[in-house]
Amino acid sequence: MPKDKWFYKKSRKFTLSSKLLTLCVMLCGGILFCWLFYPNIANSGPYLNSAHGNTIYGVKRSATGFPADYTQGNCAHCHEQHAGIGGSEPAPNTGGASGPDKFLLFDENHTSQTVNFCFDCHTSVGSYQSGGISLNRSYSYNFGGNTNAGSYDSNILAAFSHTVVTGSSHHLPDIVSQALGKTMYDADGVAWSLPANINPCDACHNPHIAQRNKNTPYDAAKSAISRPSDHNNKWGDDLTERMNAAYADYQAPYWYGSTTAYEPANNTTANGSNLPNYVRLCTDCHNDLNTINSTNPRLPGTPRAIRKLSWKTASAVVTADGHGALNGGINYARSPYVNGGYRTLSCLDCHEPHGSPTNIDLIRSSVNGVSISVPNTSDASWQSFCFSACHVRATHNSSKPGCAGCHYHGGGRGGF
Amino acid sequence: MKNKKFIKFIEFIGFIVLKNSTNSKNIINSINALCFLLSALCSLLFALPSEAKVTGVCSNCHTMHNSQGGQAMATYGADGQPWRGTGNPISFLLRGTCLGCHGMGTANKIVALEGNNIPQVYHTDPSGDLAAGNFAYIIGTKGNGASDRKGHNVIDLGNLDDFLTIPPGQYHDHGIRNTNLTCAGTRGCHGTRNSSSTKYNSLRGAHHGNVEGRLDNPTENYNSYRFLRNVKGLENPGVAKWQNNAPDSHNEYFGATTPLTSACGTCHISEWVPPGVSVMVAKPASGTMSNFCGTCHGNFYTLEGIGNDVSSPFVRHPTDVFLKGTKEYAGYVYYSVIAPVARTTVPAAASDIVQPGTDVIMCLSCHGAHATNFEHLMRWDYKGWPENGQTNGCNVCHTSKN
Repeated sequence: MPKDKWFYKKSRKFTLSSKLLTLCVMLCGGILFCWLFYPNIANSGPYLNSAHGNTIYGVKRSATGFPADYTQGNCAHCHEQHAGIGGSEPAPNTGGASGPDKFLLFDENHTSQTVNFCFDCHTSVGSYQSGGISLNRSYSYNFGGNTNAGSYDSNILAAFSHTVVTGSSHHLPDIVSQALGKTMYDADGVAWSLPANINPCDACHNPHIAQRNKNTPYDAAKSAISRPSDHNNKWGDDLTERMNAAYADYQAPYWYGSTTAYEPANNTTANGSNLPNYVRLCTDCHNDLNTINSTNPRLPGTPRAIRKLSWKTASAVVTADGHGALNGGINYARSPYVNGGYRTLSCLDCHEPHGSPTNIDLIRSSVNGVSISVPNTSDASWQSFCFSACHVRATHNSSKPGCAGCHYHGGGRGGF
Repeated sequence: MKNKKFIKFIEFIGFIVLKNSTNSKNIINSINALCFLLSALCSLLFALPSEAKVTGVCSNCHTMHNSQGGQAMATYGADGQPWRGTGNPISFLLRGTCLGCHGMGTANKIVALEGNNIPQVYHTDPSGDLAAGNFAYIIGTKGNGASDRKGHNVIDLGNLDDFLTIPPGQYHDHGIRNTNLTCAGTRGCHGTRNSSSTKYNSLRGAHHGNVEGRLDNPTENYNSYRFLRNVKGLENPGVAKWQNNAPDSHNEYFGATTPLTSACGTCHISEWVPPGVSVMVAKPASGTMSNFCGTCHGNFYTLEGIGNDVSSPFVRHPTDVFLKGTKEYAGYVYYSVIAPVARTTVPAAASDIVQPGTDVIMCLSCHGAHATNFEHLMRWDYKGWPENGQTNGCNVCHTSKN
């Protein structure tokens, strides 16, 4: 008798109820198995799956007066429910950190560009995080592969500290004054807003759900970011939130020094299927609808409104960018881009999100696998950017007003 | 108007009972109607405060001469503990101190004594504790080890707090120290708290006039929630008396939607005491449990203490503010005895329903009153989470932070 018929005959002997009972037992067994062998996974919610809530590398405050036996990931490492623990206030407890602070934090939420609650831990000097944090290097380092000394920031505070002489930083006071508590519009014109008094870092990160995202090994399903317009959800962790889902023509730039491996994972994946759709993230603020008046001291011409831009195919306000979805065809392309091709770039292909140690306008220290130098607005700087990274000079005459004379976000020449 | 409706309702039930009882085929309808009527009456009775005055023979609690058959009678209390009566007479002819009667150290959280059920605040009952907790956790005779951080170290325990010398968060110095904190009176929680009240006279008449159940009009100690002067609440009258036993069987706590300010009248109210003396008494003006806690831990309670506002961002965890009805808080809809909420109206019966946007956060949402098995009188192992893999009570309200 064939085996399938034998099974069929056997199965007919069992009643429906006995089959259901068996199914239930199997399901219960499965749940029990998971509970026994993967207790954390079975019980974990968004916080416990976050970087801060992790029991191995999550928050763990090391400070005078703070009890050493609060387990890693515990709320108390950031929040003091009564502005103290056990009748006294652990360090930091002087100056602005003395006494109760908003959101029950152990220090003031936000004071200035370089004095911010998050920097109490995300710094390489005097971090309250037990053991410090050594992974928060620049995007160009972690996801671009440029490990050259001086080309990257080694911690978050450092990345936000380029406000005086060299480099550039995303300006937190402007996020406070221009975005938080305001009615903003995403690139589709949908209104959103964030509370006025939250930490400006929270505009892009939700500390209770943000995950550790590093390159050893790279895991595209883990995301540290949340769209400003969707604070309570991670962005980029789902397949539908990747670059390739929005832009079929995305081409990842080369990993630093390579012509075979690509960002952000140093592997052969180049279609953006492993990259969050950073365009959607950034254009919640930086689009053709929101007016952002910047006071960033490292912004050329500051204070002024940041140029509006459109990464779409058309805009009623500005000229849509050629580096965006507008299909103008690439000129003078360097590999992996090809002449005449249609490519939509990710914002982070060229820009650092937090700060750039050497370049203005948050321009990365390396783009498309090569180092660039854009310390100022001179044409030499722009040529280093444009002609080193993605375009060959070829026959294009750049001597008229310089690259930036014609090519800029929202500019009359299609941006580019 | 309401009375007329009620009479008509009784008439209607009576009509159904009589009509159906004459017909043997419909007798079951008659029984059903009768049962319904009885149930309705019972519900009505339970909704009213019930008198629970001390009953039984006087000698359960008192001894006239501290002598019976040549033996001392004032000997109540747990074996081997300093509060066990040594035979010396006690005020008011009592047979035990506060802990002597309420801390017998047996394996029962409620001790039955010839007609009286005495709630125990020091015991080793493995089935659980009464709602306010168990001082045994401080001593270490129950739980996972002794710790002064687990409760209010009343001096009666004979074990002074080694960590705290004053109440954390006190708004001003009210003289309470780890060397004088006690159960009742000037430096206690229960009974009348004025400058001259002692432990025993502060509770004069409370036990003999005790009212239980729904206590929403406290005027004296006897009709205040657990003899906490002026505190409102519902003392669980069910099978699990005095216990927070299950989502539908627990005490109900009274709360407000705005904490009071740090004005004097928040905690100090003048009372006339016979024969006509005005005495300033420490008691919560709002009648809420959190206001009561705030009489000692003022900065943790007052409006100024939480940031001058009842909306986020707070600078201390708020109490006497309602649980938001939006975002993650909207997920707390089924009452949890791990992190209970207070009600803005003292209900007639315990409910297992939580209404975000209406119900209130209170001190007892996170803390026990006497002592718990966890540091800082927490209701759960806060500091051990998340490594302990146990429930974090924070997540009961902060449902997305799990």
